[in-house]
Amino acid sequence: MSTTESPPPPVPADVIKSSGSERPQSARAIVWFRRRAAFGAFCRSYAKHTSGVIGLVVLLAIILATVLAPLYTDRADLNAATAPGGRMESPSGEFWLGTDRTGRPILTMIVWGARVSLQIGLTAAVIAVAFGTVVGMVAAHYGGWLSWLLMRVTDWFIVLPAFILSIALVVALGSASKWVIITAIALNSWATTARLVRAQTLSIEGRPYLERTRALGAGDWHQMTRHVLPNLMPLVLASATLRVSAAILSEASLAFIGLGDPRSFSWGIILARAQAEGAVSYGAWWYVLPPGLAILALVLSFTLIGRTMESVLNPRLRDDR
Amino acid sequence: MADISRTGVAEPSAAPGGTPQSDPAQAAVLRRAYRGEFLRFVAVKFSGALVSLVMVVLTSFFIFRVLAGDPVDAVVGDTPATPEQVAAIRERLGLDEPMGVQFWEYLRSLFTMDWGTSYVSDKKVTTLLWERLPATVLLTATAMILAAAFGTWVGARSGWRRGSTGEKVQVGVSLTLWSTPTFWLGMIAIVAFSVKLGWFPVNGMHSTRGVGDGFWDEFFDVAHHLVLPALTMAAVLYAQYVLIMRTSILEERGNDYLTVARAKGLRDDHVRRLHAVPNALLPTITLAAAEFGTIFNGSVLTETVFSWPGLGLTFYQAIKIPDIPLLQLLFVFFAGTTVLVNFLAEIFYRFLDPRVRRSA
Amino acid sequence: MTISVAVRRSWTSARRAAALGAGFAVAVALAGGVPQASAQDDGGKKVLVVGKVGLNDFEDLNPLDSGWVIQGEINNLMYEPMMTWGQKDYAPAPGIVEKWEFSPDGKTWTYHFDPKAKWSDGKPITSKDAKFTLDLIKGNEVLAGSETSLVDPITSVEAPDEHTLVVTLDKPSGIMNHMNNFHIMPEHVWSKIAKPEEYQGEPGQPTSGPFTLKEFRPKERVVLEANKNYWRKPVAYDELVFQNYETAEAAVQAMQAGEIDFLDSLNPEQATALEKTKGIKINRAPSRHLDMLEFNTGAQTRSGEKLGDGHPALEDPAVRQAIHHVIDKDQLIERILDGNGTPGVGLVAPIFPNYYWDPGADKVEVSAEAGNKLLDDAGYTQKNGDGIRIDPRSKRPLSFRLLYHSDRPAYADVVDFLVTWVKELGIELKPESKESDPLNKDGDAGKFDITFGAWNFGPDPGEDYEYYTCDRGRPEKAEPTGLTMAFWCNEDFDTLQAAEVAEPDVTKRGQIVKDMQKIEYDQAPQIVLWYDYALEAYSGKWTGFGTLPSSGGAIARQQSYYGYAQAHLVGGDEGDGGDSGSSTGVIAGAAVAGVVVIGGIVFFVQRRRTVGERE
Repeated sequence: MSTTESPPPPVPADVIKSSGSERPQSARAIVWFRRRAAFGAFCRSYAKHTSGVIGLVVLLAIILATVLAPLYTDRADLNAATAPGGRMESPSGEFWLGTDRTGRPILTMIVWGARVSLQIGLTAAVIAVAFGTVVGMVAAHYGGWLSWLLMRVTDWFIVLPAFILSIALVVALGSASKWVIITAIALNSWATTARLVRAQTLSIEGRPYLERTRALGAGDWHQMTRHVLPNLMPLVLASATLRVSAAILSEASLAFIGLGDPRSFSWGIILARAQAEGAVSYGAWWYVLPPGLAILALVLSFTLIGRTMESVLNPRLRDDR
Repeated sequence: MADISRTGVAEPSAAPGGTPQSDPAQAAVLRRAYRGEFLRFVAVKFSGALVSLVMVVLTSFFIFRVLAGDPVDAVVGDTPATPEQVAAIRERLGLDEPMGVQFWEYLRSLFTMDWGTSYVSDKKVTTLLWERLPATVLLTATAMILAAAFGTWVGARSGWRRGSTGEKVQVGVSLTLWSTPTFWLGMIAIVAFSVKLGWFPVNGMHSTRGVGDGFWDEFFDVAHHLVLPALTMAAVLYAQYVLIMRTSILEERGNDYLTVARAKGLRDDHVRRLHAVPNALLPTITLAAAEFGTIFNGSVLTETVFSWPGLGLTFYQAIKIPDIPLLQLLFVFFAGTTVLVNFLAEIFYRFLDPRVRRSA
Repeated sequence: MTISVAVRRSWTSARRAAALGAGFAVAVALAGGVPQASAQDDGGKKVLVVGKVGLNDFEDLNPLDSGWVIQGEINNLMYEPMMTWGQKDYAPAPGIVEKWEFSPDGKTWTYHFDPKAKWSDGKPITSKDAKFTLDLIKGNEVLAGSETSLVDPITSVEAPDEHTLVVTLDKPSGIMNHMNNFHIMPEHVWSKIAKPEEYQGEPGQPTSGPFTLKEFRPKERVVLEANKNYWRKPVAYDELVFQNYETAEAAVQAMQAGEIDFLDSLNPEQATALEKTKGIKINRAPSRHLDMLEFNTGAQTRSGEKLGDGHPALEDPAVRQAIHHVIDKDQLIERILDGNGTPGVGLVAPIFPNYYWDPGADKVEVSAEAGNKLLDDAGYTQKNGDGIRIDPRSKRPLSFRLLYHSDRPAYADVVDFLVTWVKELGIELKPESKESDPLNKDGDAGKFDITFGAWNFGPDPGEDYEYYTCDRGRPEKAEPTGLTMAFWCNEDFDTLQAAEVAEPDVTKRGQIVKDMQKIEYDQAPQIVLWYDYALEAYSGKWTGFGTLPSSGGAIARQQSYYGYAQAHLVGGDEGDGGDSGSSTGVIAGAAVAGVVVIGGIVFFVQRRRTVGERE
C-alpha cells in the first residue's frame, strides 16, 4: 500500500541475495516473506512448549465462549427485573452454577463478565504497551536529555507501588467508570515495557544494516517504523500478553475494594457483589468459587502464553543450554 | 498485583563477567579505580532516588489536592451540615486557601513533618501512621520471610533440575499462585480454615474477648491471628521468589566454576548449595527489592480482607472517606519507602556482586 | 577454584547481612506488634461483645457532637438524656427530668429533675449541670452547629434551685418536649475543659447513663464498663465491647465463629445464614431506615436563578407521580429484601405511631396504565423514534439520569427494576453510579435528575421536614447546598411545617405531621420505596435485649440505651469464661505451628552456616 511519505529507498543488493530461493519480486515482498518464515519458525518453536499450548487453548476456549455468548445465553437474564431464577438457588440442571440474590444465573454472569474483564484487561494492556513502546523507542533513538528525562520517569513508575497509585487515581477522579479504571491501570503498567523496548531498540539500532540505512539517508520515522518496530514487535507482543494478566488482576482487585461499575459484571465485580450479598457466610460456594477460578484461568493462560513467547524469543533460556 | 514480567524469564540478569583478574599488582590498581567508580555510582543512584522522591511528593499533592475535591461531607457525619458549619470546616482544613497557598503549606509540612490532621478526627496523621505501622511490619515481614525462604529454596531446586517433573510442578504451582487474586484467596482461606474448620480466628489482630494479662497470652493471640493473613500474602509473593531464583540458578548452571567444582568430585547437591545458590541469591535479593512496592499492594488487599489493623487497612479506610491528609501521607510513605529500598538494593547489589564489580 | 572462593567470600557477608536483616525484621515486628495490645482479662467477667461495621467512621466520642449514628448510639449508653424516647411508642418519657410543663404560649418550659439522679462519681445531677451544658452549647459555634433547632429559640436558661430548670424561648417550640435527646455534662468536670468541642472521649469520665468508658481505641474497639453507681437499675453484666469490622461479611463470619455476641445491619442472606447457625437467634423488626428516590424538582435560587442541570420535566408533579405508578414496591421488597420490609409512604416509618400516615384508599396504585394516562393528560403525547415521550415545553425527551451509590450492589439491582418499569411509560432512565463523595456534591449542586438514597427518620419530625421547606429548597445564593434533597418548594407544606415545629402538644403535632405527609405523597418530591427491617443477630447465650418500640423494633442504632442495657445472659449469673478452655487449645495449637515455622527458618539458616564452616 502506498503512503503519503517518500517511497522506500532501494534495498541493498546483498539483502536480496540472502533472501532465499523463491526469488521474490520486490523489496516489500522480501520483507513479508522473511516475516512469514520467522513467524513459522516461531510457531514451530512455540508448539514445543506444552504449557504455552495449554494456555493458548484455554484462552481460545474462553474467547470462544465469550464471543458466542449471545447464541446460548440471554443478556436479559442479567437484568434483576427479568432474571429467571429464584433467590440464591444452588446449582441445578437449569442453572449449572446456581443463581444470585435476584435470580441471575451465575454462569451467565461469568460468561458475560468475561467480556468486561477481557475488554478492560486488553485495552489497558494495549494502551500501556503502545505508550511504553513509544517512550522506549524515543528514549533510545534520540538519546540526550530527552532520554534521561524519559528514563527517569520510567524508572519512577517502575518503582512505585502500582496498585496503590491506581487506587489513588480512581479515588481522585471520583467515578469508577470503565475508562477511568482502564486509564488508572494503563498508567501504571507502561513503564516496564518502555524500559524493555529502550534496551531492545538500542541493540537493534546498533546492527550494521541500520547504520547503512542511516547512511543512505533514511529519516527517523522511516528507521523507526520500517526497521526497528518490526524487529521489536515479537518482544512487545510478549510483553503485552503479560501486561494483560496483570491488568485483569488489577481490575479485579480494584472492583473488590469497591472501585468499579456496580452494574457491569466483570469478574471482580461479581466477587465484590458476592461479598456484599453475603454469599460466603450463606455458604453459596457457587457464587464465590467460579468467578475466582475464572480469573485464575484467564490470568494463568495469558501468563503461560507470555512466558512461552518470551522463552521462544529469548534464546538464552532455551532448553538446549 | 505482582508484576511477573520482570520476574519472568526475560529478565536481563547481571552482566556475565569476563575472566576474573588474578594479578595482585593489577588488582590494587583496580581496587583504587573501583573505589572512585563505586562512589560515582552511589552519587548517580542517589541523585536518581532523590529525583524520584521529589516526584513522589509532587504526585501526592497533584493527585489528592488537585484531582480530588474537598470532602467536607465526610467530616460532618450522617447528617448534612449548615453552610456555616461547612465554611468553618473548610477553614479549619485549609481548603478555602488558593491552590498555590495550599501547595506552599504542603511543602512546608514536608520539612516540619507536620502532615496535618485527619479529616475524621483531630489526630495528627503522622500519629496514625506510627500507630498502624507495627502491625503492617509484622504482617509483611512474616509473609516476606516465609515467601523468600520457601521460594528461593524451591526455586533453587527446580532451577537445578531443569526439565524434571518436580520442576514443572513447582513452576506450575508458582504461576497458579501468582495468577490467583489475593483477596479471593483470603476469602477462601477464611471460609475453609476459620468458619468451617475453626482453626484460626476469622479476622483482626486481637481476640474480641481478651485472652489474659500476660505477655505470652498476648503474643500467642497475635500469632494465632497472624497465621492466615501471613500465609495468604506469602502465597502470592512466593511465586516471585521461585521464578527469580530459578532463573538465576539457570544462569549460574553453565558457569565454569561449577564444572570445576563438579570435577573435584563434589556431590551434586553440594555444588548446588555451596556454589550455585550463593551466587544466584544476589540477583534474587536485588530483584526482590525491586518488587518491594508489590508488598504494599498486597498489604492493602490482605489487610482489608482480614481486617488486619495495619497501614494497608488504614489506606483502604481513608479511601472510603476520602481522608486527604492521611492518603497523602500514606502515599508518600508507601512510594517513598519503595524508592529508598530500591536505592539501597542497587547499592547493596553493586557492593556485593564481584562480577559486576570487576566488569564495571 | 580461586573463582569459587572469591565468590563465596562475598556471599558469606551477604548472607550474614540478610540473616541480620531478617532477624531485625522479626524483632521489630514482635516488639512493635505486641505492646500495642492493651491488657484484657476475662476472669469470669460477663462481657457482651458487639460487632460493628462503621466504627471506623469517627475517631472521637464527644457526647455533645455525635455526627454519626454509631457515635450517638455509644454516647446514648453513657449519658442519660433529660427526656428520653418512651420504649412503648417513642413518646417523650422521663430521663433525668421526672416531669415537665410548658406555659400556655409554649414559650416557657419548666423541668423538674429526678432527685435520685447522680453521676457515676457519686455527685448528684442537678439543674445547674443542665444550665451549664445549655449555656456551653449556645456559646460554642461548633457545638451549636449540630443543635441549631434546639438552641436557636432559647433566650434564657435559669436554675432557680438544684432540681428545677426554666427555659425561656422567643417562639414556641415542640422540640422542648424531648430536648432532642441531648446529653448534659457534669459542670464539676466539664467547666475545666478548655475546648469542649475537641473532647475526644476519655476513659473514666463521670457519666449519667448505664455505662462508663473503659477503653477507646479509635477505629478498632470501644469498651464500656457497667456504671456501678447507676441510679436506675444497673445492667446485668460487666462490660460491653464494640469491635470494628471492615465489612459486614467479616463480621458475620466472626459471628458464625462465635467471636461476637451481637451484630446488626445484616442483609437478608446474612440473616438467613446466621439463622441456620446453631446457637444464634435473629431479630427481624421494623426500623426507621428507608430508601427512596429523590427528584430534582427544579433547583433554583430564591430569585429564580437556575441551579445545576436538572431535567425541566421533573418540575411537573405529573411526571413524578407517573413514575410512582410503575414502581411495584411489594415486588421490590420480595425480590431485593427477601420480604424484610414494608412498602414506603412518607419519611415517617410505621414504628412511629404518633406520626405515621397511612394513605389508605389514597394509595398510589401500581399500574402502567394509570401512569401513562397521567402523562397523556399532562400533554406528554409526542414520542421520539425510540418511543420516548417528549416534553412539550423544553422539547427534550423524558430521559432522566439516575444517580446512585456505586458501593451498594443492592441499589444496582433496584436500578435494574426501575429502568425496566419506567420504560413502560415511555420514559428512559440512565443510571450513573458514583462514589458517595462526588454523588453528594452533584446532589448539593442540583446536578442530577433523580438520586437514589437512604434516610433515617427522626424521631423528631421537625428537623427532617425542614429539608423540604422553601427556605431550604430555594437557597439565597447560587451555591451548592446540602440542606435540601429535592429542591422542593410548596407553600401549603411550609405553613404546616411552621405550625408543626411550634406545636408543644404531642398529639396535635402528630396530626399536622400526617397532613404534611399527605401533601408530599401527592406532590411526590420523593418516592419512598420501603422501610426495611432491622436484621440483627444475637448469641443464644444472651436474651432480654430491649427493642424500641417494645412491641417490635430494632435493638441496635437506637436513640436510647434499651437495646444493650436490658440484655442479660440466659440463666443469669454464669460468667462468660466458658469459652476460654477451647480457645486455649486453639492458641496452643497455633503456638506450636508458629514455633515450627520460626524453627524451620532458623534450622534452614543454621544448617547452611554449619555446612559452610565445615568446608
